Amino acid sequence: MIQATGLTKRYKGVVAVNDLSFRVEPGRVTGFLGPNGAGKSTTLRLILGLDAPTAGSATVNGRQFRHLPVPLRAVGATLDPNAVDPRRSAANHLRWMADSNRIDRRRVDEVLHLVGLSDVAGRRVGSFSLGMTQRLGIASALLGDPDTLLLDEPSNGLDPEGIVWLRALLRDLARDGRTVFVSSHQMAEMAKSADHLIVIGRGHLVADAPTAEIIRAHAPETASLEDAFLDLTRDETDYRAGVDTTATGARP
Amino acid sequence: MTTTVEATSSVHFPSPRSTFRSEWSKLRTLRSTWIAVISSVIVTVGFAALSAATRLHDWDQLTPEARRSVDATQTAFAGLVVVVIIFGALGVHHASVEFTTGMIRQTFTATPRRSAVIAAKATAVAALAAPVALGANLTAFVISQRILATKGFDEALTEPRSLGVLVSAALAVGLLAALGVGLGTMLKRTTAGTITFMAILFGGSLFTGIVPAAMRPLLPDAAFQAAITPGSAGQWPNASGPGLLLGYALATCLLAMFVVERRDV
Repeated sequence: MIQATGLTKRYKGVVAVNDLSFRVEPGRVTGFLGPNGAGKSTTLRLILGLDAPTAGSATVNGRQFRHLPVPLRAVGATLDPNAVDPRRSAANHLRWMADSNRIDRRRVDEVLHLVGLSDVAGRRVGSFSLGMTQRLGIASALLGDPDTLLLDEPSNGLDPEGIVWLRALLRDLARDGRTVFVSSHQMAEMAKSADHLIVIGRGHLVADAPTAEIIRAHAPETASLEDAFLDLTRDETDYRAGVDTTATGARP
Repeated sequence: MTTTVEATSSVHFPSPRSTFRSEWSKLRTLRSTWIAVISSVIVTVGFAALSAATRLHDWDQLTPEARRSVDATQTAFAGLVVVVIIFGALGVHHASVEFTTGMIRQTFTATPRRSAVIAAKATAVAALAAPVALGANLTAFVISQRILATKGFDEALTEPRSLGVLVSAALAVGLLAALGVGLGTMLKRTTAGTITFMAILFGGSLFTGIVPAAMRPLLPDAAFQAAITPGSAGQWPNASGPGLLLGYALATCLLAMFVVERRDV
């Protein structure tokens, strides 16, 4: 279970996350949505103790992340899949991680097999496509067989087969009673995989409700999560493409 | 009713040992580490052989004093400064690359005790650099000695004066590499870290006018010189060189820990 209480983060006067409170329950897939710059990644970093909150707190299973006895067994996370040393092989990347939390190195081969990277385990990560790097990120999140998963846009770069696979994986993990927290911009995908949604805009909470309920309340006619999301965040969007420009971007 | 107290609840894994294993694993799995190791051995042994051969070649032109100052430790260290730069840069880069790639976030998610990560990183780099430097120095010494033996030098390796300084020079290499890890952590950039490393290493001898003469022996470059200068015959070398460098490495790493514990990553 993840709990955020009055979570606030200010960077040099810019408020990235503003008095955000929510709870991510185990046993279901919770989607984490918000326009660009809404504060999703900042929130994930605050949960992982990478950034220190200006006010409020975030806990996993009732403890601050840095007080978890074996972090990788409690929480598996992928933030930026490209944030790896490109010169190291996929297997060696997972090995140092396994070593750090005394996870058996055999688990490295298991998770590589699970994400479909067994054949390229010895290849330099720098030679991977975005989809392969993303799979490596998912493998590193699963390495410690954690109760809580925190995934920042894990479907980015995955092929259609990969997306279907990921959806089934998230469902299975939730069915095991784990807490699954997934941020995404892909509304059609979230509509299929998330049972519950937490929507933020400009750093504050916009909605925290079951997916079906959000669609019913905000897009009753089209029954589309995309429409519901656009309706919810209409006043919360910072970066919007110029509406005066033509499709090619050339000014008249 | 009995309650079972979970004995492990207060034990914090990532123990220092697993943190070290993880950092050692990172170091071992990069080709650049082994390139650094091999090139340091080649430079040390190659420069030592060249230096000894040059002494022989110039023998007739050498003054009697210069002839007296020739010894196998001196020629064994001909390439040492290059080795210091190689391992110093490796130390800087081993830390800075985590920040430039963003991998530091995975590192600190796996091991939230950031100071322990920096300590393990510095220890791993020093634990690689010092033994490699020692092996290279010993080889360089033996080769120099063989070359110089033709002019009647037969300095024994087991002589405290020689063995001591070979060990103390290897310690200096390890400690300066650990100092590099501290710089790479603080500055987060490889170029900035390497330039700062060079400034610390050579600054004292380049800008002699800035520091009062009494304080000059305390500077890193003077400490390094002390660490590679043999003691008198039959004597172990003075430990002040490696001692001062240990102080510099510790101070840099402690400062890096202080900074990294307080910084968002």
